Amino acid sequence: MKRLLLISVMVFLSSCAHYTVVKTGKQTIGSMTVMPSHEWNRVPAGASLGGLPTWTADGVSLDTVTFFADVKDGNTLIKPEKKDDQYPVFQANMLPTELVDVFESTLAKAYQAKISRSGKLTPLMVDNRPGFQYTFEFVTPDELTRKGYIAGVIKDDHLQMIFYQATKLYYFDHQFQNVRNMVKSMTIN
Amino acid sequence: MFSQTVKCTVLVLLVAFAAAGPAYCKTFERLQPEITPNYQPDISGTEAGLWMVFNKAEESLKTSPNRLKDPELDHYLKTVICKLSEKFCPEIRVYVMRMPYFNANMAPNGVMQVWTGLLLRVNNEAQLATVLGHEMGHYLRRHSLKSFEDLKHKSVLYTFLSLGIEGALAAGGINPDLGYAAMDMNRVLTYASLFAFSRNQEREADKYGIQLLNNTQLSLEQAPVIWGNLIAEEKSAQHEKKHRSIFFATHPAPKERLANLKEYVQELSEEDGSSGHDNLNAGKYWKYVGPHLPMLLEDEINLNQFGRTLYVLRNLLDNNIEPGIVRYYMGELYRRRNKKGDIQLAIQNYLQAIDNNNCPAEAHRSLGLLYYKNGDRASARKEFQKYLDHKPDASDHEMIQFYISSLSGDSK
Repeated sequence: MKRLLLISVMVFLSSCAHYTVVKTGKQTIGSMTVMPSHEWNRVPAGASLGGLPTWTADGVSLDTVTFFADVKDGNTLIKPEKKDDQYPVFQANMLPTELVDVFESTLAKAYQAKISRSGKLTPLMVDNRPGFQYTFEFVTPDELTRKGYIAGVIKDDHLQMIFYQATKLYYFDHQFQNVRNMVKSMTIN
Repeated sequence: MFSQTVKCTVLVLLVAFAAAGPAYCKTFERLQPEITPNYQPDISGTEAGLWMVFNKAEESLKTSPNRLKDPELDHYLKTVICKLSEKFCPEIRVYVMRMPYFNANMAPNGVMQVWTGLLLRVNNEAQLATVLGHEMGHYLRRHSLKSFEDLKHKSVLYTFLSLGIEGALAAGGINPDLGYAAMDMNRVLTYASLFAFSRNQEREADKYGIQLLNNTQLSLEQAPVIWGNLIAEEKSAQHEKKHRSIFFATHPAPKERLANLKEYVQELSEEDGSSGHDNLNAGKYWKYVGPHLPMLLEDEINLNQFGRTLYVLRNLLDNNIEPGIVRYYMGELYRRRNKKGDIQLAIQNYLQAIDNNNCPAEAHRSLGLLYYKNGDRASARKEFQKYLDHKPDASDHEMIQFYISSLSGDSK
């Protein structure tokens, strides 16, 4: 009960106090740099997936962009909340098909999401390197069908990846082109 | 033909003679439904309020994206429910939910949810009927209403005691350490009491389920098998999950259920003098569940609980369920786990899968990935090409073409 109260207070405080504006222009997340063409809202760590750097345009329950920056070989994509939570591990020699497996399994565990089987995986040049992009649908416990998009690349044994998700109805398409432009602008130092 | 009483008397006398002590012959005491067919609660009571809430929830269930919409599977589940109780079956509505865990539940208004993780772990219709009968037991004995009232009474008592302790603390009439310990104790006892009440209901539902199963021509012997499998699955997952799930807090331990169910089966078999109910209807069960097997296994594998999933896959293979599909997912499990020796096991399983009917084309893709990483370019190219030949419209065909062209480039 005390823990629940503490979490509620933290969520309340974070929801009120720590959203900040992400300006247009160059933004650096770890080794990753992107150029958003419009303003976003930076989500406080307590309200984002695994505490990862996350932005939203219309609110976290409607759309988010999450940055998986500098994921090292042998690490999970997000830090497990409990010690015995088994998340899949990223390996630097993985091919895009395997990265999608790791991502989907992470999402299924972190969001209790059910992944649609109609994902589309295609090659994509990211910062002049062969990377990948993947679009898919999934359902979250709030009973909403969402669309997701990931784009990333492995450089120097580190995974750099952007994950955009939003409700299938209206919100995904609303920001999708902006996110794709941001992915095109992605550079890795 | 001996009657049950005569048989018992003879048995008691024999045992008493042999052991020179007291002996008992247990008979199966039948439970009675607490509702009548087409029961509707009194509009002014608590139960009507509960029904109203669950009627509303049912409307959401109907259109839930988590619902597995398959009218043929729904109809099949309904026919099994009707075998269990023709009298009450018209008012039971069953919904299959895409949830990769072993569970089913029953609402007070007759809405039953069956989770896909349960369908994956059931081997035949007799085992399915055991679970459905258990859920009907909850409905016929009005367990939801009783749980709600139990929760209400215990919440009042919990609040009353908490206020008393807090009042004493505020007035300085009690040592703070003692006060906080008393608060913790109050909370623990309330939870323990609620869970104990729930476990008692589960025991009763288990018994009612067997009683209903005995109305069918399905094998009673299959009822304990489910719990035997669950115990074995838990053991295989012990190193993955240190904490037991809430399922075990609110349900009796599987070992106890296994023992109870075996006892009920024994009692009913002696009573009827029949072990003639031996139908499993496995073929019929998999006719309706089988088409969803790839999705069920995909969801299971995404949970990244390898020991548990390996047990589920082996159980399917032992029952000769779709070896082409199951071997493919066993390969997937080893490929994703990627411990020492796993890649070789993955390759073996993919090759065995390909030798069977209904093997997913993805087995060729996975073989391609493993050969690619092992540096066997020719085999990788061949397997990727086979994947595209089997599935030219695959949603990842551009990526596979990219792999093929990069392999061709390397070999120049």
